[in-house]
Amino acid sequence: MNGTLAHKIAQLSEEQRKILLHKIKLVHTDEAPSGATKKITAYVQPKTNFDLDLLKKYVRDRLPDYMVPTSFHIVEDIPLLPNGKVDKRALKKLPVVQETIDTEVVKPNSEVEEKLVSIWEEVLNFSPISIDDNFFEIGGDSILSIQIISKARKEGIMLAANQLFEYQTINELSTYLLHQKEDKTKKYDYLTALRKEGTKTPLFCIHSGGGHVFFYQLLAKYLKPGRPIYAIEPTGLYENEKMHLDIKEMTTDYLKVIRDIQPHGPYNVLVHCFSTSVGQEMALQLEGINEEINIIVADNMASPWNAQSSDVLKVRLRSFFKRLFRSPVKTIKLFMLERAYLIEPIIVKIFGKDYEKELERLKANLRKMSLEYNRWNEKHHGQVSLLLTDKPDQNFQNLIINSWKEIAQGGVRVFPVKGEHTTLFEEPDVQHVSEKLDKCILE
Amino acid sequence: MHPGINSNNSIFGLTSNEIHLWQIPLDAQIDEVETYFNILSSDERERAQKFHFKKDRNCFVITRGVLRILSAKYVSKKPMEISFGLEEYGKPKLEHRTSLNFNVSHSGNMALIGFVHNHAVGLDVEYIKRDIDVLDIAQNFFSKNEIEALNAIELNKQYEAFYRCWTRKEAFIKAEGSGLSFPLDRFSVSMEKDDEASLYWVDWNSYEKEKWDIFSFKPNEDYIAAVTVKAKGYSLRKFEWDKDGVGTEL
Repeated sequence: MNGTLAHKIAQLSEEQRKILLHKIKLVHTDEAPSGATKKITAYVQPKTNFDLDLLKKYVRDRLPDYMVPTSFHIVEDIPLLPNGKVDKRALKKLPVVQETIDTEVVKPNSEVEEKLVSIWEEVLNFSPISIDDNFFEIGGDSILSIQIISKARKEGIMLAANQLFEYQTINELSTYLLHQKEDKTKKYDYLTALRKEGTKTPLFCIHSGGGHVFFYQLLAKYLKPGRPIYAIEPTGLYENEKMHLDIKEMTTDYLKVIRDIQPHGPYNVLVHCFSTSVGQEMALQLEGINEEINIIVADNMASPWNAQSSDVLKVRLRSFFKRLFRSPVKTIKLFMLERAYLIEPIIVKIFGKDYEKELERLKANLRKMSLEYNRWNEKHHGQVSLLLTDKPDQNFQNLIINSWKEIAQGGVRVFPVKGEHTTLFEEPDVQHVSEKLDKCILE
Repeated sequence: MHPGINSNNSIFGLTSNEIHLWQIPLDAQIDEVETYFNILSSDERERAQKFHFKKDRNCFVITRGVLRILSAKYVSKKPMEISFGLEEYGKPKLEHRTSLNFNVSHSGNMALIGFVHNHAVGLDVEYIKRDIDVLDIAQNFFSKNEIEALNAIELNKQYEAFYRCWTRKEAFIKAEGSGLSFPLDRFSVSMEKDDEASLYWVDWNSYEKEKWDIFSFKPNEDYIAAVTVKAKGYSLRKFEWDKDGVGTEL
């Protein structure tokens, strides 16, 4: 038994001492998981007529705060080692037979915390709630979490659905809210951190023509650890948000955000379909300030939509028909998918509901921008890392490689990848793609 | 009691196009909490101690205990040999060389555990509470067309519709494995009756909805549940874990 505690107990009256000594056979300290504060756990082997509340009251009244156990565990028998000492290991494994947990209530320190405490108490239907109580340990679940968030929003506390999962106590939530504004990734709507941790050069992934970045999510699972991964989404997905009007302006804004996170190159920028033009524009803009870029192209030709020259068309057609004969349905589907963002979605225009129209408005804008983009004929010193899937026609491969060689004076490195153009970022292709990405990133 | 030894072993032949879904009425297991506690790992015991309410602790202990017993049956191991790990976004998984995936959900007095080979599975069960403002929650978290659909439903049917929608959404994001960090308002599910469960629309990929099977059902009058698997052509088999640790097909 702890010396000071023994001393304190010695000061109690005979009767008080009896109660205590008969009830608590052992007090030993336990490091809390966070390591921040010591937590005292009392294991109590009760006799008949034992009253836990009375014991707690005694302990609280008689001992200094730091000595009051944070939890009381009632055990049937305190296990002993052969030498008569308490077997601490066996003790920890004992089942707890009675509802006994008692935690100190930490009061709210700010207005936000006060509001959150009353919302939690209302939704979880008990009180008092301590600002250090873990939501999921006091009966919280997902449907209660969204009730809390929806009530908090009404009080002007803007939380997102996942934030109760990330910050599970009121204390953590309010700290998060306080620092939210300082967080760089929150500064601009279009930057999403897929992986924040790491000290290596970050990878920036630009959204597709569909306007979203979710398909990049699996990269966080498969790219080697230590490298932060950021995705860039366009603005305009929600009502009242301004959309960019051309690729040049869009790229300038994206570069600002990127350079906030990584002040100097080489910049590793992953582009796919629509965003190849953003990659091209980025290289041209970085050229002006003498910064290096590595455009990582996920299986796309430079300027794929204006495959103007007859050569290009011939090769494309040949490749298309070869595929068509091999697997007609799949080829047509692929053809549609690869170009889906260039085709005006007439069906949606006529029959689409509002929610679809909003997204279509954004997609149409992206489509328009990429069709209008006119700097594909300008050369730069950027480097291109080309992730290339197997094509049925070798000429088509060469065509894609050459389209980049013509522009990128920094050189084109080709990384053959397994999988299909349309599923590069899905399981299982993404595993292989991630391996190649790890190789082509410039530090 | 030796949990699980009574179970008919033939139940555990899980074929590649089946979802096995176990219903565990928690109240019926309350006398066995200690038995389940004894097969938990030390980490799990520690976690169990952290719950503020006995009800939550019992729920955790029973569900984990049954999960150990059932997983052990499917991968031919002993319950205490099973070890669990976490995926990138915190979804629990088996730390064994196996194609078996599982997912767990509980609410009120009901826990569900689902098993599938090879594909991601997600499930959600909710006790139908009538003291919450479903339209308000929908406004904050559902997609536009879901909000419209819910508003169009007559008042006394809104609760069920809300929970049908919610469980389908939650089951979907649980299968996805990325938790609530997933944007709830950027995909839609149907709200219709149980046999018409489907993923309507996913705003990032128009083909995504072709990849999922969704099932909705009511474990009993007070609950609504949904299961999703990231594959097509699946069938759902339901079992109940009764108080003697015996599985019965429902």
